Amino acid sequence: MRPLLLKGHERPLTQVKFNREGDLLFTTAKDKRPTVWRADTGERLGTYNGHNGAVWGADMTYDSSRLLTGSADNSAMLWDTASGKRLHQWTHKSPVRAIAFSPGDSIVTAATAKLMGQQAQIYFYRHAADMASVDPEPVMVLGGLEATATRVLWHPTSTFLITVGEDAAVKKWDAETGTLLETVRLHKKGINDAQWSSTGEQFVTASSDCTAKVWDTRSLEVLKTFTVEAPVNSASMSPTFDHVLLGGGQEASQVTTTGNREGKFEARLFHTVYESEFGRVRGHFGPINTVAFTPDGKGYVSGGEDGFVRLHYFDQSYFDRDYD
Amino acid sequence: MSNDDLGAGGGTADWGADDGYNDDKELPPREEHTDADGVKHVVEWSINEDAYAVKTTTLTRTTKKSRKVSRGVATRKSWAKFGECSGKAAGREYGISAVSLEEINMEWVTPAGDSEEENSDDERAKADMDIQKRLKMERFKIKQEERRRGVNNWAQLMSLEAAARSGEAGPSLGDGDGGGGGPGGKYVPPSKRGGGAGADAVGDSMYQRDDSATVRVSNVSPSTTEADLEELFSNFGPIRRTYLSRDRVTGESRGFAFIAFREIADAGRCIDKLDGYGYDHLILRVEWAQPKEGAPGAGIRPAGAHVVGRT
Repeated sequence: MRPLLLKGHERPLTQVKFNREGDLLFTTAKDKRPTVWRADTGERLGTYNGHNGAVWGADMTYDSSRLLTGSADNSAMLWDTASGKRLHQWTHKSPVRAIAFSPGDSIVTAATAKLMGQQAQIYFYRHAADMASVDPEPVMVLGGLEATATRVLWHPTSTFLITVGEDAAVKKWDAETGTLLETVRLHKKGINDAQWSSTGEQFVTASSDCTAKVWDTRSLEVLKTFTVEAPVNSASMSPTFDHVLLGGGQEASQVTTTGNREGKFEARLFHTVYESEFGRVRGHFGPINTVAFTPDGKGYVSGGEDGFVRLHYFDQSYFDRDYD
Repeated sequence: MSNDDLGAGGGTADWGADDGYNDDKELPPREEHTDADGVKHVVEWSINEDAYAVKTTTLTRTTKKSRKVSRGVATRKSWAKFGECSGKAAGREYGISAVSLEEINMEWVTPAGDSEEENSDDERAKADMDIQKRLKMERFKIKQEERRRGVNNWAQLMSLEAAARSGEAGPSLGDGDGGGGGPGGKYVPPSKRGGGAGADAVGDSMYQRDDSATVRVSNVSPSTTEADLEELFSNFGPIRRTYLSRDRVTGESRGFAFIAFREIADAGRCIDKLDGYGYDHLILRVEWAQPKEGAPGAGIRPAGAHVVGRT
């Protein structure tokens, strides 16, 4: 396969995410400019200019009409996806590390970092298509986090949400009351990323303890564990196969001390059931910070510490292969 | 490109200036036609900085593919660019989006414990053993040589050698023990070390790649990739390495490649079969790769190797 190389960012990538249909690819990096790309051609469609710090993540509404970004400039911003116009800005006292729309797009969730003397918190704001009813004040604030939450996952049923944190904790919260239902610590180091399976019955977490784990959403039990030699920065589950994609590599501070090959900068594909690795894709010059399967499972995108986004569409051999 | 501003009117031009194209001469107009295959030909003329006329022919084939998409996706297709790339033309921006020039293949990982894996592990272990043995031999030889000359440290040996090469009288062994920075202690690259040691050392260097089972393939069509070559050549036996020469700037194939087989016999058979073989509208030329001039190892290939399989 010949991947598309997207060089729009000048700093390490923080998140890559497809919209629901998979025709748009949103990328955020530490360079203040979230970018949207056409997924089929790799054409840059636009950038969202206005943040004044690293952008940690993004989420979009069901119809992709609005984009939400959270940044280290302490703000969460709401954008018109088509024009790049900023619609609203919520300001906090510490960087926004994770951001998400609730299913149905009625709530905006922003998780702030435990930094600058502030506690890690999760803010809930009302959101509606009509901008007049978008509230600048939070309707609910969740405390009680020991460390910064790195990702917020709303369950598709909207009844609860899952947060993963730098303290290796996976937490389940009641969406209605904001009570903490459960805390599970099965990773040994901080969790860098969490993504749903296509149905929401499972999710996968990627941790600095060199493992990725697939969890059962309801019981918060670990079903599968995938172990590699380097910290895992991101993991994604294929919507069509029993495949898990892991992206990671040596920490950025140690990259210069090792060669390209030793750094393990490859995207690694594992069989979900057998927990065995079956394929690798090389290409990045640094650790892979974020990965995502396309919603149709025919390809994946990876964003690296090297500032490159590589968009891959699998060869026919990937689909023809017998994995069992 | 419009050329109205380029021509100054043919009628006013001096006939004497007619022997070559220059600024006064009107350029032929832009031609555009579509041939039977649906390929659009555009012929354009322009003048470069050396005042020469340049003819540019552009061939474009347009194919239409329809795909059913949801209404949302269809609407988004018409979105204009904004932000950093606001006002830019549709399509990929130069320097921002590009298709990788390099073909990246998924490396299939066979799970540990498979028989195949074990085999290759064994092979690797064997190869490692061989290398160890050869290294030992090499070290032994050097030791012998040193002893023969009565040298007892490396710096002394180096200075002796340097002296031998330059034809000057070398420093006596007595004053050479000052260390590595001693007189005449010039640096000698590893490949040249032991060059004066005698004829028997030729061809034993560890650092030389063994090219004996390598074939050179030329007249390879530009669209051929490493993967294609591997597919074609792996029919003759296991391949150690495939190298397709590419232009460093454009990444286009330069039309020749080297295939290193594990076995010389495989390479021989491959040359027999594939030299003159028609591949992708071109006729391949397959021959033994020529080792670099003067490199030790040039004589390694057994004389009868290329006859293997021919009789």
